[in-house]
Amino acid sequence: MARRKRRLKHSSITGPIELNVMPFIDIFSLLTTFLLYVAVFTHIGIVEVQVPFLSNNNTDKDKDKPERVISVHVMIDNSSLKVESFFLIPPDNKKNKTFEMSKKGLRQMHNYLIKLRRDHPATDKLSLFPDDEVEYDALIQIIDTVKFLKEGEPPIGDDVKADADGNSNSLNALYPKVIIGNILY
Amino acid sequence: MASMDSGSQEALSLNIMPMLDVFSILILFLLMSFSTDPVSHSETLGLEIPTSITLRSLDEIPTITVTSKELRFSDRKIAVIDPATGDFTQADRRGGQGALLGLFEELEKMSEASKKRKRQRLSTTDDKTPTTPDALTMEMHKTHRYVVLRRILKSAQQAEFIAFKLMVEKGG
Repeated sequence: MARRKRRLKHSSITGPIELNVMPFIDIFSLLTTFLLYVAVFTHIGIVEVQVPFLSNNNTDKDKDKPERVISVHVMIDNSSLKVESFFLIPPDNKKNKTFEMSKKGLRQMHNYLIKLRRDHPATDKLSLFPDDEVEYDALIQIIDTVKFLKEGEPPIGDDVKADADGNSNSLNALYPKVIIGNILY
Repeated sequence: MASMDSGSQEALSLNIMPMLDVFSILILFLLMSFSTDPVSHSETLGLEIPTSITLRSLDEIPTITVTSKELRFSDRKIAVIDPATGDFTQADRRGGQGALLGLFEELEKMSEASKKRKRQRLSTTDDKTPTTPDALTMEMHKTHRYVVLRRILKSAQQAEFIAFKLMVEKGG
C-alpha cells in the first residue's frame, strides 16, 4: 500500500483521465440480447369448452328451470355454418339458418345469435358440431363468434352477476357454455 | 482515485451517456416483457396457437401439447400425427371409438388424482361422492383438423374429463 501511494505521489500523469466504459457497454449489449430472448411479446389466454356428459344428478335447481328451453346447435363444415334452434318439448318450433364460412358469414351469424339469445335469455348453452375437416384455427374463430360479445356490444341477460368466479369474461359473454357436441362419432 | 494520482487541477468527468443509453434500452425491454398473467408459458417448438378475443388468462401450464407432428402429455410423447393423413397413426388409435389409448391411460390416472384432490377440498372421504376432475388445459397447432381434437376430447371424456381450456393467443 505504501509503495502504491509513493508511486501515485510521483506519478507524472498530467492529462485528463477517462474511465473506459466499453466493457460495460459490451456486457449490457449481451444482457439486452438475453432480455430479448426471454421477453414475452404474446399474451396467452384460454377458451373454455365442454363435452357432453351423462349425469344422474337431479337437483332442486333443475326443477326451478323453465320447462321449455330452447336448444341451439351449430353445424360446421368448411363452407357453411348452419344454426338450428328448437325446443325439446313439443311443439319444437324448429328454425334453421345457414351462413357462409367467411368473415361476413361469421358476423351475420353473430348478430343472429345475439337476437336469439335476447329472445331466449334462459339458454346460455350452445352446442357445436364441427366436421372432421374443419381447421382448428377456424373452429376457434367460430367459438369466439358464438361465445363472446364484441367490444361495444351491450351485455346480455344475467351473465354479469351469474358468474360467481368473478371472471371478466362474463361481461363479454354471448353463449358462455360452449359444448363440442359430436365427439362420439 | 484518478484525482489522487494526478498532479493537475483539472476536473475529471466521466461520460455516462452511453451507459444511460444502454440502461434506457434495458428498461424498455423489461417493461415490454413484464407480464401480469398468473402463469407464463414459453413457446413450444413446432406449435403455433390460434388467436382469440378471450379475456381469460392462462392459469395453468398445459398438460396436453399437440405440435405439428406429435401429441405430448406432460412433456412426454404419447402419439404421433401422420403427415399424410393429418390424423393420429392407426397404432395410436386403439382406444374405444377412435380414442387414443395411450392418452386415455395417462388421463385416467390424472383424473383419479384430480378427483381425490377435489374430494379433499370438499372435505369428504367418501369415494362414492360423485365428482368430476378439474378442467384440462391443452395447446394445439392451429392448422390441425378437428379430427385430431375430437380424438383427444374423446379420450379425455372416457377418463371423465368434461371441461377443457384451449390455449390461445390473446388479441384476435
